[in-house]
Amino acid sequence: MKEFLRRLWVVFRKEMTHCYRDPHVVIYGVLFPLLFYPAAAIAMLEIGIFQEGKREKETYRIVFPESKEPNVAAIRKWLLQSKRSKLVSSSNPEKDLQDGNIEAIVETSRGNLSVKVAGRLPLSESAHTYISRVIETRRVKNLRKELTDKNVPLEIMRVFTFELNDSKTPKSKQDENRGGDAAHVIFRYILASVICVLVLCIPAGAVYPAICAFTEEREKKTLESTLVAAVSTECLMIGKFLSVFVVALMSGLLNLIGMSLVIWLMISQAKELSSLSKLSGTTFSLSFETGAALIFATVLFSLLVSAIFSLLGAMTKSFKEAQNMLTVPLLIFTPMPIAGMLPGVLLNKTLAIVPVLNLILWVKAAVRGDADVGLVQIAVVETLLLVAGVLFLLNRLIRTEKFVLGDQIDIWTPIFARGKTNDS
Amino acid sequence: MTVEVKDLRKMFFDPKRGEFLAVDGITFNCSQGEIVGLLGPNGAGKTTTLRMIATILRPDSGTARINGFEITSDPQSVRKNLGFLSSETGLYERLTPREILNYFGQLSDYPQEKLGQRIEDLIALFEMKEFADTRCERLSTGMKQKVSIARAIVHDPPVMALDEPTSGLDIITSQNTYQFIRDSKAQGKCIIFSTHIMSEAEKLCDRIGIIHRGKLFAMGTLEELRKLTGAHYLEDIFLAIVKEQVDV
Repeated sequence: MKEFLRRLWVVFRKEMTHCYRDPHVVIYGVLFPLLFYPAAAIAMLEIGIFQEGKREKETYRIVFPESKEPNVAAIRKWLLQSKRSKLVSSSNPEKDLQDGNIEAIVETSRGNLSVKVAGRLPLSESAHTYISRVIETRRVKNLRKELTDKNVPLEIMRVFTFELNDSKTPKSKQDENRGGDAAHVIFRYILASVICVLVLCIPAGAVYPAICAFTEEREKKTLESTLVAAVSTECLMIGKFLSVFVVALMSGLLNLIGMSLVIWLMISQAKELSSLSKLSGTTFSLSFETGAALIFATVLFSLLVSAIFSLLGAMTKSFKEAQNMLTVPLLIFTPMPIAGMLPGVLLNKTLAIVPVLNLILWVKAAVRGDADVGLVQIAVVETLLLVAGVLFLLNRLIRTEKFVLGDQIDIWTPIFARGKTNDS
Repeated sequence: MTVEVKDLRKMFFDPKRGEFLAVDGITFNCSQGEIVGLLGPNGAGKTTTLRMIATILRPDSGTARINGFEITSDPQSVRKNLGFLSSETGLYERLTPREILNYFGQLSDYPQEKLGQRIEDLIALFEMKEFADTRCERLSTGMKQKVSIARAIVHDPPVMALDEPTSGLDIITSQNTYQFIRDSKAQGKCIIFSTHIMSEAEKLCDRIGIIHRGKLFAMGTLEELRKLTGAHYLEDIFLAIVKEQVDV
């Protein structure tokens, strides 16, 4: 056993060295996760700033009749003084709106305001947002004044404060039906995107290591010398598989770290810039259970992806063929996180045996705080059994003559291939 | 005998040709300090024979013993006693020669404490010092051949199976390979060597086996084969034996 482990370590170390010297692995497994998210965040911020700047230059032509109602008059005054709005008069405002001669019509009826815009005109949409913000600001100002007049502490306005740091106290079904709280929804959106990215990035990170470890041996004709080395086929296979797994997992974790940092920075930035910052105190943090479920599911998913990609990599003879072959599982994995994040799709007895989806639903359940231990066990055992099954087929495939002789291998070869090598 | 091959047989299946015998009952042996050549045209069964000896393929019947170890029942021990080299064998492109030697040395049973020195000796022997730490993808064919040979013998095996080792090599690299084979013989290694180049077999081999369509038709020294056929040149000897056997 000690000798087996020593040789396993030698094979693993060699595969890791060989693999990480492949520019594809470095680009997709290391550089992409480390650079993509900050680059994407910077790009998004830049676009936001650019759009904001563009919007500041826009002037909205608004038809706003005079009113004696103090609030309406105050809003009208604000719009009149603003550089971004120009109050105009029109004999037929509806027609002017449709023709694009004005961007919005504000109508008043017994102190109530309604804003009419033409949805098909982008500038009209922006005008709507702008007027809504002005109205909201006025509303908040009134509310403050009223509270101050009645000697009510202003803390009552901190309606945007949520505590989401403990999934042990899940929201009740009723709360959820009522919409839950906004931060919880945002948190779930973030988590859903994290899972989506992980399900895409781990396989993307495993493609090139699998090609390096298995396909390249056949393409570059190093297989013979590897097979005559004084090492068992099992040791070779496990060593190679472990290298694929570690690179895929590292890629997944780097993606996770990259995403977390960028999300954290963006939330901090958004809170700082938000006009509601004085009123809000939203906090986002992950419970230990959710974090553990996310990490454990990532490890299991990496194991499964590495096993499948290793098998498919071993079935192909060239880099191009391997890329084509490995695209198939990538396409199968892609819709899984989207399906898993749909409302109402929850971990149940049926879905607990659907590979990959069961891991996604487990993380989802952990976030909701209602993960059923029995169903989670089914998902974990099923994934591990699948990994073992795929590795068994990989081991069979490596021992076949077709593999050794570099013949064409089809999907049935690992199961039915005739002719075995000496290690069989 | 260091190598004893007895009645080796291997059948392959080809979708176009159906089942065919690639190796049909080949028997021969090879002693310490001897070079045995398997001479035959392409598709004669030389590579398959050597692959079975090297434990890459499993024979359908028959067996071979390498330094006392049986190829089917104890392939691991066979591998520890055998160095296998083929002209087609590639190298890990992103590893350096030193790393490749280290990898195969570590996988073998060669005493690990002496491995560093062994690698240095091989680097000096094959004059690889200049490129020992350069990735193999940047090496010339000749340099790669030196690394391949060093890789095959890094664990100092008593038996070597060389499958057309000079195929596709230029004359200088071929000469270096011949020198290496002669030196190995002088060190008492048992060498089985396959080729389709008559002059190569004539120059290097102590005994030559004529192999054709999976069968070993004759085996002996050049003199013995000359006596057997009455022909002088190996090319004529080969044609005489093959023609006679095929006609029969």
